[in-house]
Amino acid sequence: MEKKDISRKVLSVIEEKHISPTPKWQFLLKAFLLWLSGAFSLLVGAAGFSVIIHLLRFNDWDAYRHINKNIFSFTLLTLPYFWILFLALFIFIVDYNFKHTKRGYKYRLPIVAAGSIFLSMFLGTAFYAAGVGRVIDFTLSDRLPFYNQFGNRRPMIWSEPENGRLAGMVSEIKTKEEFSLVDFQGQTWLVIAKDASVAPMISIEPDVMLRIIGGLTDDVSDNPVFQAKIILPAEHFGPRPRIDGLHCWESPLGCPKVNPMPDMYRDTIPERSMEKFR
Amino acid sequence: MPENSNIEEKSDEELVGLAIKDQAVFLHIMNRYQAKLLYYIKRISGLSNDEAEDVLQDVFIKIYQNLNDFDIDLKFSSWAYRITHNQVISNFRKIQARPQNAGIDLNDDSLRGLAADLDIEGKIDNSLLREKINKILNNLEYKYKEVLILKFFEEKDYKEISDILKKPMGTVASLMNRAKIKFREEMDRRDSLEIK
Repeated sequence: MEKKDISRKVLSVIEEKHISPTPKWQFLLKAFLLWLSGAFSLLVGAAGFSVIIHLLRFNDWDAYRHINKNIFSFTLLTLPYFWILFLALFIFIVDYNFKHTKRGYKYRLPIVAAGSIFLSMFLGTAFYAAGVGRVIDFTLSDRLPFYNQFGNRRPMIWSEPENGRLAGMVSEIKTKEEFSLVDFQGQTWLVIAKDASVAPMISIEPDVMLRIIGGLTDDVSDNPVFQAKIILPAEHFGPRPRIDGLHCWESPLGCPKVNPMPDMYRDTIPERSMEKFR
Repeated sequence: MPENSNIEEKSDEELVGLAIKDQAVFLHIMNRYQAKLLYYIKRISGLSNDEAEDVLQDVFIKIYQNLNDFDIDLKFSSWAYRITHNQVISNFRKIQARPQNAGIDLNDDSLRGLAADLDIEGKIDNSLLREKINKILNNLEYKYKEVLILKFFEEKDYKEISDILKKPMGTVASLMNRAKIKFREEMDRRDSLEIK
């Protein structure tokens, strides 16, 4: 008797309150949105991984001795922590979404996590090959204030002339042994390249990006003076330094004219093997 | 509404399909599960009969509202137990209470099954078996208590427990092992106290 009472009571509540089964499309939509946000998170995480590959590939492996004492501490210093955390966050979101799908609970978290890490890396590698990592890094460097303090810190690492590291864009060839360089803060430097070793693949001419290892000098000039010992190419540093707060293409003066390097200059700085810089 | 004789022969899964179109059919589903789910609620929550019936009503309404979400790859009973489990947890949260330590309704077969599995049949006097197991279960953490109740008193296999608790089978197996170890430890602790 009691058994029938509860069931009938529920049935009468259903009738009185006009309760009806939730339409199937609502459950399907919820499931679809869950999968969609999971897939989106996977793609975002993969994009983050492509930036990690990009930053690691163009890390200063050729000059690590001038940044840190050994390769281990250099690696720890220069790992792209922001992007690693970014990737971890989106892997967590993918895991969370997958675990909340209809059958997601059947799989153990380590398996789900390993699967999403593998997928993120696989897609991230494909994105990197397509140039996505470089574009993201460049765009954020250009558009996001302070990005270089946490995302790609290479410009910061190479903006320490007091520690012997300077990077920027050649703005003018002064003499056969001197040129002007604009650093990432927009500061113009006079670089003395006498007796400097120059990486074989670069030619020093306006608009070229360079990393320079050397030191400050007491020489007097309109601009601070940096004595170069080693000159290396500076690839994938993001946007070029701005002059007076403007990109060259935004400036009324336009971009620096790319002049061919004077032959005498080329003769002065002998091309040497990269091995000698290490 | 289809005829009663016809209805009784239908599987739970078939009844779900019919109940979506005709709410009167839902009465048959409720009749099939009312007693089982009421026992389950009382066993895992320790609520009184009246309180457990209130929870059961909410469970049935939830089941009815979610009929279209029923996954045909699951057994209907696993799905119904899952909703019941969630409703009991939700009820605890709502009243901000922990499971109460009321007596668990244990039948003799289930008791013997649990004692045999834990290899404790010889350790305790049969007349004290029910009381002792009751006290130990009530002292276990909720997650251990529930998994033991599902296995030994609701007689669910690992696959069903996995579907009810929404945990991987491997996790259920680990949970079950730990629950048995905790149960034995608690029993040994009580035995040593009795000897003193």
